[in-house]
Amino acid sequence: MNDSTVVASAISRSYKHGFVTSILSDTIPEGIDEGVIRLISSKKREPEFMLAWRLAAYRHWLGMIEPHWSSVRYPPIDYQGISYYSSPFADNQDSIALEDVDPALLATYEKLGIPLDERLSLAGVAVDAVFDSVSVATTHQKKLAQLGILFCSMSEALREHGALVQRHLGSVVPSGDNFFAALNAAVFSDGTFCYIPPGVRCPMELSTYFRINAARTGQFERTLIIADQNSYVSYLEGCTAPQRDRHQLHAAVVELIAMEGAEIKYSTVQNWYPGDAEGRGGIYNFVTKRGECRGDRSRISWTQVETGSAITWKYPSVILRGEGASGRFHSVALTNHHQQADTGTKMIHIGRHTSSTILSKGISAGQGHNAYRGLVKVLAGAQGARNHTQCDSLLLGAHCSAHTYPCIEVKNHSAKVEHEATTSRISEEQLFYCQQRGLASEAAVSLIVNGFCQDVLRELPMEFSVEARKLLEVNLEGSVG
Amino acid sequence: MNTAMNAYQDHFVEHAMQLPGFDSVSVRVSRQEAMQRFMQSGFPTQRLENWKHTSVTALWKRAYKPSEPGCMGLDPDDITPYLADRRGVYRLVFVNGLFSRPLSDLHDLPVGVRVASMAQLVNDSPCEVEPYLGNHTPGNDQGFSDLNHALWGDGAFVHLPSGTRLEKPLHLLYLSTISREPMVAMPRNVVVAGTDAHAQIVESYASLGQARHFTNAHTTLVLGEKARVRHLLLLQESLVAHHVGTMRATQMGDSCLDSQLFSMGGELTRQELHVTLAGERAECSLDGLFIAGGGQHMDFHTSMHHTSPDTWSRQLYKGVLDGNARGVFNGVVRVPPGIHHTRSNQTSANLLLSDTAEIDTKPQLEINTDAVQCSHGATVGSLDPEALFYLQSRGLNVTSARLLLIKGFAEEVLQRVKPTLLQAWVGQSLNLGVKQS
Amino acid sequence: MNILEVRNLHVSVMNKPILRGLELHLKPGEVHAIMGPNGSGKSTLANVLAGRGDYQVTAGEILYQGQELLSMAPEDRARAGLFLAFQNPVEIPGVSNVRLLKEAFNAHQRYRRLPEMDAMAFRAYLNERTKSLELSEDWLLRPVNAGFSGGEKKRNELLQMMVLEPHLAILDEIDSGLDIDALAKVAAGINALRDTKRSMLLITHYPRLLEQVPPDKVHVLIGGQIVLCGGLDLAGQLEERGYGWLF
Repeated sequence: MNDSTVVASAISRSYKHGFVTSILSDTIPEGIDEGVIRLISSKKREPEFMLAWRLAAYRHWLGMIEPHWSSVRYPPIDYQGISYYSSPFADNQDSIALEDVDPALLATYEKLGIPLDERLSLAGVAVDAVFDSVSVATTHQKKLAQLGILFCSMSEALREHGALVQRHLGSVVPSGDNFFAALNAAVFSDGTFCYIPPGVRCPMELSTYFRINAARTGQFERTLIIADQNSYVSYLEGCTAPQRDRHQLHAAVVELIAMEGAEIKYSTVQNWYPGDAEGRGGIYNFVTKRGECRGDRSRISWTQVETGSAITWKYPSVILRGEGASGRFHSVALTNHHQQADTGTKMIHIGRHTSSTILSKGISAGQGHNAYRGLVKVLAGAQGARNHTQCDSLLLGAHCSAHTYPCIEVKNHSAKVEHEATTSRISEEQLFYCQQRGLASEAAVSLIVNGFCQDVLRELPMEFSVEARKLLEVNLEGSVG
Repeated sequence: MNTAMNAYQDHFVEHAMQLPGFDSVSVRVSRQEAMQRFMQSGFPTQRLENWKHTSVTALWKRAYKPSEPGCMGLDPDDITPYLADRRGVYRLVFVNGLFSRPLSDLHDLPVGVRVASMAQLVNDSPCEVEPYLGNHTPGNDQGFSDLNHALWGDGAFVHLPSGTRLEKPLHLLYLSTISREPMVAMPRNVVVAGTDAHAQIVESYASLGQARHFTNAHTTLVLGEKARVRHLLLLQESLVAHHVGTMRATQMGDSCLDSQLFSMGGELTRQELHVTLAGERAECSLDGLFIAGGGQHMDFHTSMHHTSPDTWSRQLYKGVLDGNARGVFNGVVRVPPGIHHTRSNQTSANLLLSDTAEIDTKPQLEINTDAVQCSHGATVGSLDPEALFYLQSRGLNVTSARLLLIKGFAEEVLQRVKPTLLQAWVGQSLNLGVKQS
Repeated sequence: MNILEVRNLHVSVMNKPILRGLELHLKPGEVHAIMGPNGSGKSTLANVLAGRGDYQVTAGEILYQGQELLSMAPEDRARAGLFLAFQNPVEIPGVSNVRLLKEAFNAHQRYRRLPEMDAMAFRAYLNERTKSLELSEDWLLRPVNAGFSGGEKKRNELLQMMVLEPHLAILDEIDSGLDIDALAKVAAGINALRDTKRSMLLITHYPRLLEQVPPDKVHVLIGGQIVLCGGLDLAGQLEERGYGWLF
C-alpha cells in the first residue's frame, strides 16, 4: 500500500450533525427588498433607529458588487432565492419560557450535545442558542446579571439596552464595510450581545450555538461583545447545519470592543455542513469578524477551528489602537473533498508598542483548497510595534491546493515584523515511524495532523479543545485503502 | 495619461520605417500588435493588484522622447567608471539605448558564439532573431512590456550554440546621457544558451551625471538543457531617472540560472523577474539587494513557475530603506497540479533606517499539488541597537557603526556574486550606494 | 523454530541492487550483530525487515515466527513484535511522547486481544518502566524527538522498545553519535531488555557497542552479502584490521 492511498482513504469523512428538526416555523417568503427589511424589523419590534440603520445599509448594499478577489470559486448566489427570516416561534412571540419551547427544539440541542436546561448544561458555560433566525434560549443569565454582565440575544438587547447597543453597533464593522457586512446589517435577525462591566472577570465561558435548520434560508446573525475597562471574557461560538443538497448562505458579523486593560478571547469551532463528497450542498460562510483594542493594554485573541462549510471566507482582524494593545490570531482550517477556505487575518497596528501574533495551520485534502490571506500593517505612529507570523500548510493528496498570501506593510522603522511559512505534504518518514510503532495508517495520519495543529488547539478552552480534536479526527477518519 | 500614450503612438506611426526590423513582416506585425495592446491597456494603474503599491504617474507625466541615433559622442574614458574590467570582460555598450561599436569590445569571442546589436541583426539577418520576438504575456498590466515590444530601438542578441562556453563575463552596459529633452531608451535583449552552454551575463544600467531619462528594458533568457547562466543585473541610474525592466527566463531540463540583482539608482524603479522552470531538474536562484534613500521608490516583482517535476528554486531579496524611500517586494511561487518534488524557498528581509521609510512585502505561495517542500519568510526591522552599541563601545562612531551593520546585512547577497572580480566591482558600487542613502 | 529466517534476499533501491543473496537465521533469545562498512546494505536490511516503501525485493523470502513477512503491512509487523530502533528517528512536532506511546501500546493490546489502558493507568505503567532510563518527567510531554540531542533520540527509541516489549528488536546504529557515557547508558538499557525469548539484531559500524552488549554471533556484511560469521573475537579482529582484508 503506498502512502497516497493511505492518505486518500484516511481523509474521507462523515458529517454527524446532518439531521433536520421537523418543526413548524414562521418563514417569510424568499427575496429581499425594503419591504422585507421593514417586516424583519417589525417582527422584532425594534427601536426606530434600527430600521433607519438597516435601510441605509440596504441602500448601500444595492450599490455594491459581490467581491471576487479571493481564491474561492462558486456559482452566482441568487439573493432573491433566499428567505431572510425563519423563526421556530409563532409570530410576535419574541421570548418564551423554556418550558413552553417546542420539545423538538430542545431535543435538537440535546442531540447536538448542548442541553439548554441549566441543570443539565455544562458547568461553567453559558449558552445563547440561535436557531435559524432567532435566539431560542439563553442560559445562566441570572447568575451573570448578579455581576452586571449582560448576556442575551441581540433582539433582547435592542429592546432592553437600546442606547448601549446604538452607541457601539457598527462602530467596528460599519454597515457599509463590505458587501456581505452590508447585507448582514440590512437583514440580520438575531445574534448575541454581551457586555462585561469594568473590572469584572466573567466567571464562565459565554457561548453561542448557531444552528441552521430551515431549508432555503440564510442565517445572518450579528454579535457584539463589549469588554469594559479591565474586564475579561472568554467566548465560544459553535455552529452546525443539516445535510441539504442546496447551498445555504451564512453571512455573519462579529464586533469586539476591548476597552483599557480588557481582554476578549473569542474562539470558534466551525462545523457547518461542508457539502457531500462531490461538492453538492454545504454552507457558504461569508463572515466579517473584527475586534478593536480601543483602550491601552487591551487584548483580543481570535482562535478558530474551521472544519465545515463548502466555502469559508473570513478574516478575523484586530485594530490595535490603544498603546501596548495586543492581538492574536490562531487558526486551523481543514478542507476536504471540494471545500474551499480563504481565511486569514488583518492586524492593524496604530498605537505605540502594539504587538500581534499570527499562527495559521492549513490542511488540504481531497480536492480541498485552502488559502491563507493576511495583512500586517504598521502605521507611522506605531512606535515599537511587533508582529510574528507563522503559517504552515499540510497537503494530503495530489489534487488539493494551498496558497499563502501574506502582505506586510510597514511605515515605522522601529517596528519588527517576522513572517514564516511552509508548505509540504505529510511526511512519509513520520507516517512510517508511527506505523513501525504499530499504528494503523489512518491513526498515524490523524496523530500527525493533530500534532501539526497542537499549538492552535491548546489555545482553546479545555472542553472545546477536546471537541475540536474529535472533530479533526472525524473529518480525517474513514477507511484505509 | 492619454496625452503620453498618444505621443508614443504618434512617434510609432511617424518613425515606423526607422524602427529596426521594418523589412521583416513578422517583426512589423508584432510591433503593430504590441502598440495596439498598449493603447488598450495604457500604463498600469494602482487599481491593478500587481501595481497596488507603485504609481507610475510621475513617469508618464514627464514627456519622454524616444532617443534617436546621432546623439552620442562618448570617449572610451568616459565609460571607464561603469566597467567591471577593461580586459577580463567582453562588452557591448549602448548609449541612450543604441549600440555603440567604438565603445564595445568583443575580442576573442569563441567560435560560433553570436553577440550582436539587435537592431543590426534584425535588419541583416532577421530569421536569427524573429523566433524570440513574437511572444508576449497577456494581461492588462503589461503596458510597459507592450510599449517595449512596439518601440524597442536596439539591444543585445546573444546566442551560444550547444556546448559553447563564454570564459569571460559578457557585460551589457546601458548608459544614458544628459539631454535637453528627457529621453526614453527601450532596449530589447535576447540571450539564448544552447544545450550545455555556459555563460555569465552582466546587464548594467547607468546614467552620465544627473541625467533625467527613462529606461524601459526587456530581457529574454532561454536556457537549453544543461545550460548554465549567471545573470547579474545592476541598476545604478541617476536619482532622477525612471526605470522599468522585465526579465523573462525559460529553463529546460537540468539547466541552472543564477541571478543577482543590485539596485541603488533611480527615482522610480520597477523590475520584474519571471522564471519558468520548464524542464525536469531545472534550478534557479534569484537574489536581490536594493538600497533606497531620499524619495526613491523601488518595486521588485518575482514569479517562479515550477511547471516541471523535480525542480528547485530559491530566492533571497533584501531591502535597505532610508529617508522617505519606499520599497516593494512581491514574489510568488507557483506549482501547478501534478508537478511533483518541487523544492522552493523564498526570503524577503528588510531594514528600515528612518521614520519615514516604508516597505511593503508580500511573498506568496500557490501550491496545487502535495509532493512539495516550499517555504518562505519575510522580516522587517531596523538596525539592532545592541549591535550598534557594541560597535560604538569598540570605538566606532554612529555613522561608521551603521554603515558596517548595513554592509553586514548586504554581504549575504554580495557573496552570491561570482567570480571575485565581479564581486569586488559590485561591492564598490554598493559602497557608494550605502553612503548616498 | 527460528524467529527470523532470511533466505537468499535480493533488494534493490531505485533499480540499484543493494542486497544480493543475504542469508540470516536467528533463534529466540539470540543477539546477533551485523557489521560492515558504509554502503554495505546494513540499513537496507533493517528497513526491509520493518517494511519501509521504496525497497524492491527482487528475490528471496523472509519468515518471521514462521510467517511470510514481506506481505505484512508495517503496522502489522510492529504489532507482531518486530521493532526497529531507527538510525535517525524522525521528529513529530506537536505529538507528545506519551501520546504516541499510548496509541502504540493500545494498538498492540488490541492486536493481542488484551484490554486497552486509559490515560491514568498507562501513566502508572509507564512510570514503572521508565525509571531505569533516568528520564525526566517532562520528557514524556515533549513532542516526539523534537529538539532532542542525538543521545536523547536513541534513549527515546529504547524507551519505546521497553514499553512495546518486542520479540525481535532491530537496533540500527543505536550507538552512532553517542559519547562514552551515553553509550554506557544505552548499552545498559539494551542488556536490561535481553531475555531468553527476545531476539535482537544489532547493526553497527563499531565493536565498541559489542564489548558492552556481547552478541551470540557476529556477521560481516559486505557488498550485500554476509561474507563472514564468527563470535565476539571477530569483532575484535575487525577493530584491529578494519574491513579492507575482507574484500
